[in-house]
Amino acid sequence: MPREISYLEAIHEAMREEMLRDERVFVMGEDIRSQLWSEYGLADEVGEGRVLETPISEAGFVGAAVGAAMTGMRPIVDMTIASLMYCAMDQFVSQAAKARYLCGGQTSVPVVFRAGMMYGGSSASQHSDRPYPMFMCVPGIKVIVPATPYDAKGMLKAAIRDDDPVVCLEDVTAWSSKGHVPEDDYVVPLGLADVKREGTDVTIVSVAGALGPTIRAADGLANDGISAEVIDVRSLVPMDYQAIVSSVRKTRRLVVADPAHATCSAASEIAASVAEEAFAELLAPVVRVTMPDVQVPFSPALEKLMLLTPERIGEAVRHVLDWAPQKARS
Amino acid sequence: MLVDILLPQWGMGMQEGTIVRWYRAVGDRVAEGDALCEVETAKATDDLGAPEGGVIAELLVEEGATVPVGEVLGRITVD
Amino acid sequence: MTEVMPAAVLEECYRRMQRVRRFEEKVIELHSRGKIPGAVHISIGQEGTVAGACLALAGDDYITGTHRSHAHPIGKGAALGPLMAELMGKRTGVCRGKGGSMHLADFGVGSLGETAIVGSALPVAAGAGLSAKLRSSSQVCLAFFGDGASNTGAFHEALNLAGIWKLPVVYLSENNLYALTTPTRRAVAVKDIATRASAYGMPGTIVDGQDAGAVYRAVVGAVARAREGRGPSLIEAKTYRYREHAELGGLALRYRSDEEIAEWRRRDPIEIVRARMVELADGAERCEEIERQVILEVDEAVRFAEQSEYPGASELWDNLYSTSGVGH
Repeated sequence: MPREISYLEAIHEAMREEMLRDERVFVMGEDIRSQLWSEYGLADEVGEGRVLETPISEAGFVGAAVGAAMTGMRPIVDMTIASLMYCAMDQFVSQAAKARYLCGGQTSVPVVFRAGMMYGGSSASQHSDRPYPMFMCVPGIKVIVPATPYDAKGMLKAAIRDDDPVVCLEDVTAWSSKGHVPEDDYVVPLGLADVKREGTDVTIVSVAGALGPTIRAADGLANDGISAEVIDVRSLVPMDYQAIVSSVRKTRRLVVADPAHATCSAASEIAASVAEEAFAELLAPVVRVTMPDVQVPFSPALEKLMLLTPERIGEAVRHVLDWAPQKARS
Repeated sequence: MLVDILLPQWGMGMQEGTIVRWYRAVGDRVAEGDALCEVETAKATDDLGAPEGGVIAELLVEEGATVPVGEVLGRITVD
Repeated sequence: MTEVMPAAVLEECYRRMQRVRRFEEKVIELHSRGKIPGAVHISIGQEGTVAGACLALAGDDYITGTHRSHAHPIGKGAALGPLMAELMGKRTGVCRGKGGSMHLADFGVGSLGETAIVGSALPVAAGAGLSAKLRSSSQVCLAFFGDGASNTGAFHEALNLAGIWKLPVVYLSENNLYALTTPTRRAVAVKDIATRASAYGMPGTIVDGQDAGAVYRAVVGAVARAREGRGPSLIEAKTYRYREHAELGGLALRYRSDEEIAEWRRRDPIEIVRARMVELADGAERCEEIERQVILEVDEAVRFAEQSEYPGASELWDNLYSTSGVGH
């Protein structure tokens, strides 16, 4: 009976195993020795010297992580909440992303930044951002968005072993989900998408926590005889465009489900790229299903209107299946 | 020896400048730093000084012309 | 206080200061001729602070710096040719033409990188100190920064981190009294930047930045403290730049009086070291020999840079990532 653990347990295991494997790996973040975050218990095994609690100084400790990474260490920084990354934007962009290129390759910056994207739980707008688009457009930094426990553990391990700076954004709607995770050491290489469900009629590319509603949408569509292929993109930079284009060549239709805001979302980038590379294959425009371009409101009655649902994704699929030039012009 | 008179960059982001008027002419003797022309840019209007002392050999840009940073405006024959 | 420097250190100090001075003079000339693109920020007048500080560091100690960058790797012992080639954007530049003036880095001498965003390297310097501490190494990181940087958020966060974790970092402010055109008395809420040290649990010292020996002595003490595990220090060197904030092709911004500039020039840092050198046996001859050698070195650096090629288009993507296979 393969064991099932939660996404956060998988994250904990990844950090624990990598810290035991390589003494250069250490963790920094606010309150990480407490039960609030997934590093709880690590200090008992590897010592407090490698599980550093920081003050509320994001610019300070993000930059310090870069400096440590440039000089022989391999830090993991737990930003805790994705929206807090903004406090350190200069250090992410001017230092983490740019240091290697600026110095002509004299050093590399092997650091991993982790953060939870909190939304759907009345955290209000300042705490509810999904900022991966802001990092996707900065050359020099890698961005991953694993959505299952198996992918979370394997990709976080790959990120820790990667010599480049990696931002690992964890959709909290996936944090408690459970799934099969092997006990032996395994790595999921960065830059590879994963076909979570094969299909023939439409490709749905799912980003981050859109995976849950996308799979449920695919189930509903199957009841109506529509076969949807679900691709979990998993890695935004580098992105596996080849897998997406191969799928589109088969199905001829594409929907992208992405919990970021519509404008400049990962979905926008995927749609534009596929249109450039595979326009002749497409039988309908690419449709994005995203959060609308408004801040996440506090009231649960309003916040729930923002969220991706199987219904919205299913509707987008039916739209591209029904789409025809004559209908579009009328 | 001929030395170029270049339009310098007076600040980050300055891409071009307009030669408003020349104070000196071909054949004039100038000392290093003497004002040669008035230059107007997006941020500032100021005098451009001679890079070295000598005799003005040629002036290549007309008054009123807008040229990019780095353009050769003229040349000085250095003693 | 040049008497605190042993004769060998004094001589090397004179050499490095002359290197900075001649290199910078050449940079001014080349920049005005269009041979060096972009912005350059000259350190003439600040040689005493940089050389005095660097000579108190070991070869494997680290430094980080600022946009007023050239003096720092030169002070730490970097070769001049690759630096000059980098300023010209050549592929033989120390950063392969990717960084230019404001981003010089020479990891071979511990120079982790000059940085253009004011204050941005201060947390990185704390990180280098953290790395040394975690690796149980006796290395120290010296972070050069200006007066303007002491007002940035990054400064306060970095010094607090260095303070709580007792990191082996020496924070050295080259206070040249102006951040671009803004005088410190209108930008810094306290009279001396060094007073900010007590807010972060570290000693703060003011030194005469024109006296390389005084700076050397202060940094020697701070480095010893760091190596003993007693944590970081803040040193404020009062110094001055003779030139504008950046070389602006002669544009006069007129925020400093001629009298002020003249007064600082009367205490030229190179002259102060030379005065001590000539007191030593053969000192005057040694000075002249060093000056001759440095001029040849700088000329050779320019020749090397001018004869080097620009990077080819195929190099555009080099070193963006450590591992390949990224991007469309």
